[in-house]
Amino acid sequence: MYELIANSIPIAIVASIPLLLAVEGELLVQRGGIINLGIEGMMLTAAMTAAFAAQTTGSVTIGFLGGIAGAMVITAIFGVFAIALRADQIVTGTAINLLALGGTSFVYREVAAFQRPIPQLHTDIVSALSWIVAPLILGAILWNTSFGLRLRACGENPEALAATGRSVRMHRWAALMIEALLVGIGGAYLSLALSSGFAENMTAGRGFIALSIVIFGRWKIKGALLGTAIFGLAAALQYALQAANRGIPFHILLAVPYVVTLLILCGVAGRVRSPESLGRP
Amino acid sequence: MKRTLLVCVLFAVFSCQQRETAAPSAAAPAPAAKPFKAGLLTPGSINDGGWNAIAYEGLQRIKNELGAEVSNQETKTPPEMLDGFRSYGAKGFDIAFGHGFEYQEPAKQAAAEYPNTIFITSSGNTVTNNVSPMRFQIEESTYLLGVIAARESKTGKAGLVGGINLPSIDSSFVAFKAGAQSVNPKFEVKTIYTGNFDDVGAAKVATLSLINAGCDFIFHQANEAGRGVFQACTERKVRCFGSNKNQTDMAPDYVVASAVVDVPAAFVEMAKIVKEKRFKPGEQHFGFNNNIVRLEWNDKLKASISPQTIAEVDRLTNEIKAGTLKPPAGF
Repeated sequence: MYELIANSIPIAIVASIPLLLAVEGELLVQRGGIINLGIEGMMLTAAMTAAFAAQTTGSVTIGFLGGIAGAMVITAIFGVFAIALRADQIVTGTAINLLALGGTSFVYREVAAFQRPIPQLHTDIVSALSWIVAPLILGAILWNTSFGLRLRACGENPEALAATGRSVRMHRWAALMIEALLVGIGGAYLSLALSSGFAENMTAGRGFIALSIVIFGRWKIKGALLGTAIFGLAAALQYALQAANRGIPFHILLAVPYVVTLLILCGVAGRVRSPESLGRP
Repeated sequence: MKRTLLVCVLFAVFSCQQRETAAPSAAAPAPAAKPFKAGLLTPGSINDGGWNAIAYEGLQRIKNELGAEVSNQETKTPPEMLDGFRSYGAKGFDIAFGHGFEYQEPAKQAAAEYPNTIFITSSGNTVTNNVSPMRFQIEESTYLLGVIAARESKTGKAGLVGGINLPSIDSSFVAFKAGAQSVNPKFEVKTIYTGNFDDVGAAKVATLSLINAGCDFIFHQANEAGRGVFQACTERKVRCFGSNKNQTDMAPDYVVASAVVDVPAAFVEMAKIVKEKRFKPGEQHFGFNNNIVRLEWNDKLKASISPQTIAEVDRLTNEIKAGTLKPPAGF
């Protein structure tokens, strides 16, 4: 059993990277008062544009840049409706998901470049970036800068921020673009490092799991890291258990990561309080 | 929802038009040589690059190779399927394909009304005088993949990654295991199901777990998510097999061989059987015997496989073709 766990840890660290980046991005925007339900669609779009950029140029770096660009474009669409036009965020996010799923599947079937070989990733700096650098920077931004204070004010009491003469919209746009940067890297990592290219609906619900980890992690960076780590480790461990063939039905093992994450996060942190103005346009 | 509605409306308009044009042609005197007609119903878009696209490719080959008149429709719900089959029956089609397990009931109903049309479903078990399923015996090639794995493995273990455990996937795994254990009864075959066909990350994690558990050959049945399997095998330098089509391109240095199912060729073969009046109701088997299911080597890696293994695979291939060896399918 110890060997199984020891073997699963490195796998879990790598395999949860797209999820972790999504959780971190979503945490930031929700602190600023926006529920971005379209995170699944953003990641899927990023995965596709990253694969396309990498397969046409043969460069992993350009692939990652392509993923970031793709995520930013679709996030901008979300932003125009949710921030500029003050549309309902839940509806807009859902629409973004449907648009991304249909759009990427369509493009994938029509474009021949997706059949080309994909360049291999040799040095993996993304694991360090997502598990160490990004949480430290996000923590510093949120709690130690005046931008972070104002962003949190957008999430709690936007009228107060507006009263000081600052733009709530600009702060929310900034948070959205940071999220797009993180999710773009996550999507690119999914199609370039976890897979050898794009596949339809390859995000497979990661965006929604990210949303629930943000909530169960009580909108805290520590909670986000802990939730993702538990979920990732439980997922890797249940595959190791399937491989070890202990006679446990795989249907039950497949449910383990969800149950374990739920139980642990329910027990850990104290009182739940979401940002006061979350979801209000 | 809107889209489904639109499709329904378009379909209704389309099928009405068909009936209108069908009526006068039925009244007209029959021409001397009646052309062979083949129809195809697919559950999804023929541009999907997968399941439905290969059926459409089969239909186009029937048109080109048999000089047939062909037609195809996209039908999603059972009433649409029944209408589609009826339209082909009414127009005197010789053969109508329903591309999926779900077409069995509509085929049975339409077949009772139009006894002169033969209705073929892709997989299934419904058989009447003019309804029969096609069955692709992929286990004939996965049995051989098991033989290769067991003879070439250094660790004595191979791993299988499945999406959802559907009967067709399970049967190919059962045969893989039987093939491996025919070489070495103690050979261990480990199986992991990821629960879906989309999540490439899960397929990669599953593959890495199998490699950690000592497997040095990996075979997958995860469709698109198989990309994660090939990624893991390339990263860890472990040999693997392709499924359903020749997947050598996915990992050119590690895919040793692929279990190929040539569905378009099966469609042509099926139409030929009906055209030449050789059709007998019952499961229509497609496998090694008619070259629909094949084992395709990666020529680049074939040199690294021992000559004895290759000779053994060739010998077993002939036995399967001759019918003296029947790989188990588990049902």
